[in-house]
Amino acid sequence: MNAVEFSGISKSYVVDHNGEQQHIYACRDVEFQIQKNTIHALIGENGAGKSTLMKMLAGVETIDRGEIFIHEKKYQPKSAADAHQYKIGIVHQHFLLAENLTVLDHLILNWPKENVFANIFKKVSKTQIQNGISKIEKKFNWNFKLTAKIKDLSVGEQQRLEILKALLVNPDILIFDEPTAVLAPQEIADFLKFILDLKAQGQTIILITHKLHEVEQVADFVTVLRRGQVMHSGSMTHVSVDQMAELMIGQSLDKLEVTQNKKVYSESKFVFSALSFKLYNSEIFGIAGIDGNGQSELIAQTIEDVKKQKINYADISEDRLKFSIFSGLTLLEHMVLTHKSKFSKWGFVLKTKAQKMTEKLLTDWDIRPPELNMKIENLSGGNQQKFVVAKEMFKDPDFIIAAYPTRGVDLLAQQTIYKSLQTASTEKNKTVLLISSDLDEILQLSDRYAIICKNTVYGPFLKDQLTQTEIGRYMAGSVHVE
Amino acid sequence: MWNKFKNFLPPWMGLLFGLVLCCLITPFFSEQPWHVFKVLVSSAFQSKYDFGLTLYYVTCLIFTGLSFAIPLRAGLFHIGSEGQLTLSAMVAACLAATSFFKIDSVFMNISFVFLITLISGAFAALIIALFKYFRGSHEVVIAIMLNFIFSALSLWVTVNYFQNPNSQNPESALIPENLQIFINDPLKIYFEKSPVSLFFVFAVVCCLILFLIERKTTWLQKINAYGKNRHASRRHGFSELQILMTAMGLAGFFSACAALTEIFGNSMQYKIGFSPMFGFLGIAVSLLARQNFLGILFSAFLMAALHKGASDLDLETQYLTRDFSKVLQAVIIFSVAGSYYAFNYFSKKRNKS
Repeated sequence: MNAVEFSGISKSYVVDHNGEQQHIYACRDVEFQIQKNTIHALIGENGAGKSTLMKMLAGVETIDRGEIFIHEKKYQPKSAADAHQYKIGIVHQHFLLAENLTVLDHLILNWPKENVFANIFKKVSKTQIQNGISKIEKKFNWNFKLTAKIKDLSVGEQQRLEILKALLVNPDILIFDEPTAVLAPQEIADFLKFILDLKAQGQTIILITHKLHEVEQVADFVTVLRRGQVMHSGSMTHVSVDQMAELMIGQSLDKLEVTQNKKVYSESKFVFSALSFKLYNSEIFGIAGIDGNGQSELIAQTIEDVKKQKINYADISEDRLKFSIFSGLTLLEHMVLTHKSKFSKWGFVLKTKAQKMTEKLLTDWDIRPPELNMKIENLSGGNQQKFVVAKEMFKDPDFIIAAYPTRGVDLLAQQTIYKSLQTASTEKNKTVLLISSDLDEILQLSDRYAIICKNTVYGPFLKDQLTQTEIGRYMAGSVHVE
Repeated sequence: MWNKFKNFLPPWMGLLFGLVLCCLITPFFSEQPWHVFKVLVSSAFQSKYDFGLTLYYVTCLIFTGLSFAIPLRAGLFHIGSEGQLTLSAMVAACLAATSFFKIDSVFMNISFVFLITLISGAFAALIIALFKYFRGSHEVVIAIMLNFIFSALSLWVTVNYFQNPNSQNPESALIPENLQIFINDPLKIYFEKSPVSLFFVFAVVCCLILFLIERKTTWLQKINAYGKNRHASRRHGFSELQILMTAMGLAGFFSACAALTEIFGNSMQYKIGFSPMFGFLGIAVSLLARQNFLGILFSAFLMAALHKGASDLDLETQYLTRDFSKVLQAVIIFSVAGSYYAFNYFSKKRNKS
């Protein structure tokens, strides 16, 4: 029996292109089925239409054309409340949390109530909440500080809260949009185990991810989307990881190898108070650690130091929505604001130059759609991230702070970002400080690395100095250094 | 071409809809709909004098509209324009009436009075920015308190020190004749000595200049960016204090311009309570124009024409009072504001089909 069936679904957005309004399709005639009690992976490049499709299923976006069937009954969601009724839960890629509330208050708001009146009159007690979430906390080995304000939580902690919120309503169909993008390696393993448990309990899981090895590990079926259209939909037994990657990006994976060049190191002149050791020129220095262990403080301190030393730096921030983009402004306006000295003279914007350079940048980085006058919030999450990296690298910086640079981006974009960081360090002799909770990323890119845990930086370590288990122990805080 | 044109269509359709709605309401108050419609639409243009009076309203509303629109771009809901224009009107009138600057040259004298008035308006607004930056206070609370303070201060100073000896009304003395340079300006003469003055031209020029600055420079873009995302703005290295000071300083400057329009362009003295809430009407003007500087020109005109029409309803009709005319004014403003949403809704539906 099908849990969900998409039949000819289309969705388009209107974009202003040189004064003319154009329709850009996020999804076009999407047609596939999701079987009950399976894990169905939905993969595709940034802007392929995965998130839009799931938002339509969750009642957040309206459907332009086509039909959706849930358990073989026609389903026409008008709002997220309809999705709740049909027991569809979604964990969004961008968190939908009220930042000024405490975790407890947020859980009280989201706590499932028996009826409308209970919503108004019956306040859920703290003990009830604690008992209610303890089961999930144990399963994941999570520990929520109920009195903490959401704005003070790290990105990883905020995502855990999002997952918890979705699980509270005990959904039949559960959608995870890039759930592991901000989780630490240990947490990812736990998470994958957890969704297998959910499946065992009879739930249907839709998993949107860029990490193909996760798909390989847990998914029963996979659907590949490219530019809003279904490229493939079927059982996992029929496709390999390489085939999935090819279907996603439309070209062979062989081209995506990252090259490591031989480098000559010299000590960098930059001094950072957050680090007790010196960085080298032409090195990528990694900071590994589970999110929320003092990375934000380290980044803030480093930026302060960089500003004091008047270094030309690129800032790929840890949270693009909060620190890197201005929703409501166009891509061109972002470029002009970030590169004022390049694109303005005597305060006047050199529009033709800015347009030409931005157009080139969008094409070089394959940001879709390459519309200068598109508001940044209309780009998909991955394309936003690509734009942020592209815009920062355009500074031709002497020092690069790259915090979670590939968070939520697809394979091809990931490789482009890696290559740009490597080119900056090897060919241009620049220093890169790479902060990430993705251990593979750190080990693949960094020349040396340190591990951050509970605001303490351990290291530096050479590339092959520690085993994965030892790194894991440092990250978990179970190594004590005198 | 059609795409560009259809952006301008909703407010006009909204205006028409609002007027029709007003006419439908009036029979309940024993008034002839056609008569009310005629008064509402035509009273602003009945004579040259009437049109001049409307343009005077337009001038003040453009300035107060700008005074609200610029801080709103920085994410500040600035409702202190009324207080700033009261204070700067008092400053302008008192400095001019007492010939504070003992300079023979009229040009220099006027220039100093204008300069001090504009600075006083800007400083009054900067208090809000400083409280916001250093104390984290909410701009609305500070603005409300300052509105009261400036109003009381202006009253006290005028009545106790600069009261017009020839009048029992609370008002300052008239400014000396040699400083009344706008009393015979070409615009005033053309509109039969109505309250309009060359300040109207200045207001239009201000809108055009701001529009060009926004298009051609990064100056206002920084303020926009700060309004959209403060965290990102700080991270990009934009100075928060500088942005707040610029936005509020400009707001105070334009409030003071509205004050100068009244003192030097119309009454030649400071009369307590001269403003029919220009500061607050400016909020509606700006919101209606969606903070677009050219849009403010049109929305100020609409609001001024309505203001004039609504005031005349009181005189021209038997049963409609001044207060009820405000209700009709509100119906029209709602219709114009709502027209954008209605048009968006229909165009979305059409796109779907």
